[in-house]
Amino acid sequence: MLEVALYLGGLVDHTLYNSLGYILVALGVLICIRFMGFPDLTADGSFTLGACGYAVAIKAHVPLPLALGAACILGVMAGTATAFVNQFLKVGKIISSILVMIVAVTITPYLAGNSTLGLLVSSPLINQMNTMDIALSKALLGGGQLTAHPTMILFFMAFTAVLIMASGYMFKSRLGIRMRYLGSAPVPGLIAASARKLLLAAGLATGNGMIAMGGAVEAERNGGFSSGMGLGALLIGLTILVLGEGLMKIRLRRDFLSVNESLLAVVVGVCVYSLGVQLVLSAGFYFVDVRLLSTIFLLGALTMSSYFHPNSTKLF
Amino acid sequence: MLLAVENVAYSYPSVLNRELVFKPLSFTLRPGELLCLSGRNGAGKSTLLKILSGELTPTQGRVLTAEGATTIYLNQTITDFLAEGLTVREQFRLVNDRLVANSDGRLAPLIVQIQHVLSSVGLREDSDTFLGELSGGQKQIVALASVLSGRFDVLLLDEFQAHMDSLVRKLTWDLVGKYMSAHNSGIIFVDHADKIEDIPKDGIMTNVYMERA
Repeated sequence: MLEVALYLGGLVDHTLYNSLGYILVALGVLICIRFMGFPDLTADGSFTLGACGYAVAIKAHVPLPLALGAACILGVMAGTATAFVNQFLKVGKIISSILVMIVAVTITPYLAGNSTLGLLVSSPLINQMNTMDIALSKALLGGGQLTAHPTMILFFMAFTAVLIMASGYMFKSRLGIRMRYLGSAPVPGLIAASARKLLLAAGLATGNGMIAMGGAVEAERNGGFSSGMGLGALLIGLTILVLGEGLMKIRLRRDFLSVNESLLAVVVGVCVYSLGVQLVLSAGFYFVDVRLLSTIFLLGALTMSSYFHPNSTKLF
Repeated sequence: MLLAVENVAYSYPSVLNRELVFKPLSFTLRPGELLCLSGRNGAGKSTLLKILSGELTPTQGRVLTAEGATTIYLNQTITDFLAEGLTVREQFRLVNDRLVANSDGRLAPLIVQIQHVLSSVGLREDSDTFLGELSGGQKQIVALASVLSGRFDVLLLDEFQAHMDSLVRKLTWDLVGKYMSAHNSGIIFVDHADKIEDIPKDGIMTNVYMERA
């Protein structure tokens, strides 16, 4: 009985702990792809850039909130750059986002001074949380090797909850409605042509800022940054989004989701995705690459959605 | 003057065929004026509207627009103005934060007409129904009503009622008439003789006949 409880507790802990970074990535993907209607491949670059910025800042003893802020700013810059290349240089959406993604990934070793940067010592706040987690794990699980992460999970979940609420408020406001309209109306004629560039830039900047913060959280969880860690971030974010949306649409028996429902879909999607990965790994398939697993999940989620909701599944 | 067309003509950008689509035209559109473009099929009426909306550049002549004047071009694909993931309420909020009459009540008849047209298809401006879940006819009404809840100086109407039944067509022409009175806007529309009886009779009515070059 105790073993089952420990297994389930461990599963929940790992599922939530593994969701901390990717929920922000999925939130960014929701904003860029679903709300702004932009096939934004910048995501992989923003993720790496955020992780790099965070690692460099923490290494330089910058406080945790500022380090997360630095990561966010780098993502905002990447998103704005994509919008600039697309709108002012008139380069196609996909190519402009690929170009910025390549630039973002390529410059990270120059920012960090190396293609990897370990975080053996993190910020005092994270260290305190780690200490509390170890103490709690010992108290709850005895002296074994297992470590749970309740403090860390609570801290980052609270941080993410604030971001989700802020996103909900923003995308339900008139500004947010205009951004969503621009992203999905075939002819967005109710928005002046002069305002469209600014709205697109604001949307991509917000989305990529979130993705970069997701990269920062992953850098913290993985104990550092490496220039290849962003590869597949978009794939994972998209998998979470499609999975969550599909489940929500089936539950609500509707083809379309409101802003709040879309945000909830991200939360549902990241929990189901992380739980799925965790179950596959705990079933002994530890050799399976997470990206390959994500591809299979995405394929399954898209097939499920296109079967139940053929009218609203199209990504582009 | 809202808009002035000076000796405008157009030919398609083809190397082999540089023939003009229609004979050079000149006219002006004043506030509160309803200008009807008539002519046979292929006379270039839709092409001219696209030139006036800025979608096409004239091959000769020029189009002058009053400073700050806003123009909107509505055609058969008026539902392209809708984003399917938005609700009816959000579609109206795009244009106006709240659909209310201004202090002098000038907009009141327009707002009442917008609400009347929406109710004719079982909707309200504050409905939380997703636009993607509406029927084709409902989408057309919502698209037109939401556009006309905004403020545009020049409306370019190109068979925007093509798929509407006669009752809804009458209601929407009433709406366009109220819009013109409320905002003193100028309207240019493409005429089809069989549907002209619904067109609002108030305001200045001008006819411009177009011919192939």
